[in-house]
Amino acid sequence: MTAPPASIDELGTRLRAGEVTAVSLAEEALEAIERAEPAINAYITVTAELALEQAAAVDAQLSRGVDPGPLAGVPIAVKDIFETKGIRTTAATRPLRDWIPARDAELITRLRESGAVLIGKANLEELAFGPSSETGRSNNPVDPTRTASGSSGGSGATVGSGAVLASIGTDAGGSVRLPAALCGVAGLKPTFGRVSLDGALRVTWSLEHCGMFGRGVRDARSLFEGVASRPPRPRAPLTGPPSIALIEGCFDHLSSPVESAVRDAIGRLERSGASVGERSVPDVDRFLPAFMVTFVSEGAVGLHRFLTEHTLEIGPLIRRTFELSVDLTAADYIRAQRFRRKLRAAVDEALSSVDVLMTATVTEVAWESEHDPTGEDLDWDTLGDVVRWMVPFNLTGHPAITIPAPVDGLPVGIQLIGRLGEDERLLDIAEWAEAALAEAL
Amino acid sequence: MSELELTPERREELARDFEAVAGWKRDLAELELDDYDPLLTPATDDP
Repeated sequence: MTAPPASIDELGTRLRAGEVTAVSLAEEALEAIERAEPAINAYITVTAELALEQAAAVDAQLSRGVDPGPLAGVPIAVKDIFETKGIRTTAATRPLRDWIPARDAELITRLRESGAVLIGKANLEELAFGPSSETGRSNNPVDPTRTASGSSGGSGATVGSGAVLASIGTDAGGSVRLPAALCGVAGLKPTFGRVSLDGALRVTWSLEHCGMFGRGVRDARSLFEGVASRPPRPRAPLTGPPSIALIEGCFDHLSSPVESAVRDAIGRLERSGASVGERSVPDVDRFLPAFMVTFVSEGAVGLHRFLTEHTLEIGPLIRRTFELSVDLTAADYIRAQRFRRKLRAAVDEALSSVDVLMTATVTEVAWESEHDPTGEDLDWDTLGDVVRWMVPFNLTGHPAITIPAPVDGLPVGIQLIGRLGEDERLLDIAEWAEAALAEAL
Repeated sequence: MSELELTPERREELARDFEAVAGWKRDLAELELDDYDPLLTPATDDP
């Protein structure tokens, strides 16, 4: 057996050179999933038969001299919230445990057209929000006694385990960046709307983003470019170290290991030539009411029929959350949207004089599974503390990426935030930062 | 007891939840926002 490829780019090169076949890559991924699964519970459905069929089709195209696409032969896991024709799509909720969609989500079509191989439907929190009694939670590949968290926990855990190079998740309130940071991988939340969610079972329409996990930034980028709905904006190449601004107050509420890792990372970035300053984003710490009012209001409307028909089958945290909508008014929702517009302008202003903003991604390292504060007994203020540096950019739609900081212990994520629509520039800077962080002191 | 009936613990949880909702509403009402800024202007936003 050959060594596993270091990146999607390298995999493509080796595949086109005939050094590996798509079928052998799919077989290796399936074996790796089988080995890791008892410890991490990353999948709801492993699509072995389909994966081998798709891989054989890629090999056949290559043998005829046809290029299968930019993701040729790459095994990809997809959060089980995207509709897959003929393959059950459960959203980790009991009422959908046997639901087999009649169509593919647009993302699934794009993956297929890019030559990717669907290796499985990844585990998640119920309806991408609450702990699922149907599928259980995914464990952290770094330490399986700890949580991968969520909601895209399976997508993060399988990349962290090394079984696949990249995977798809969704992020309405940090649900890609949180598990990516805790599992020690890269996690991209693109600009709102850059990747289609048509055919995804989303709870909210204005907060949800399709996101990508990669073992490194390059893999997240390759997957993003393979599925993005809109072509990239032209951009000048990155000619030197970037200018970075910490968001004022970004060390508040950080646990000691996270703060220490972030300060160490700042030193490394500066030593590599980045200028690291500070910018204020007024009211960024007042994000929680606008987030909760938007999330609960949109979810209560979008899921109304589902919640009514399946009250006794859905998890208590889902029921509990959307019951809160009875006390919310149209005026609350409109105020929340006005706050979002104001916050977006404040983030735009902060980004007007630097290349990217920076924060820690999550305030803590991975919790022991029984002490996960985002579990069944979640309280809203604790949720707000955990997601405080992620959710503001769900409200504003700015692209954000988490990359692992160098640590001795449990993974810590560094979050970089870019300008609206400039996802490719953010990825350029994230690749630069990833390399700078990897340099020996 | 039906799963949907209120236990004392559930009652306490509900009270905490609705206290949180009241706090969100209060926070939003106290923010300095432009009250006359329309969210949507169909004549200009609609392509």
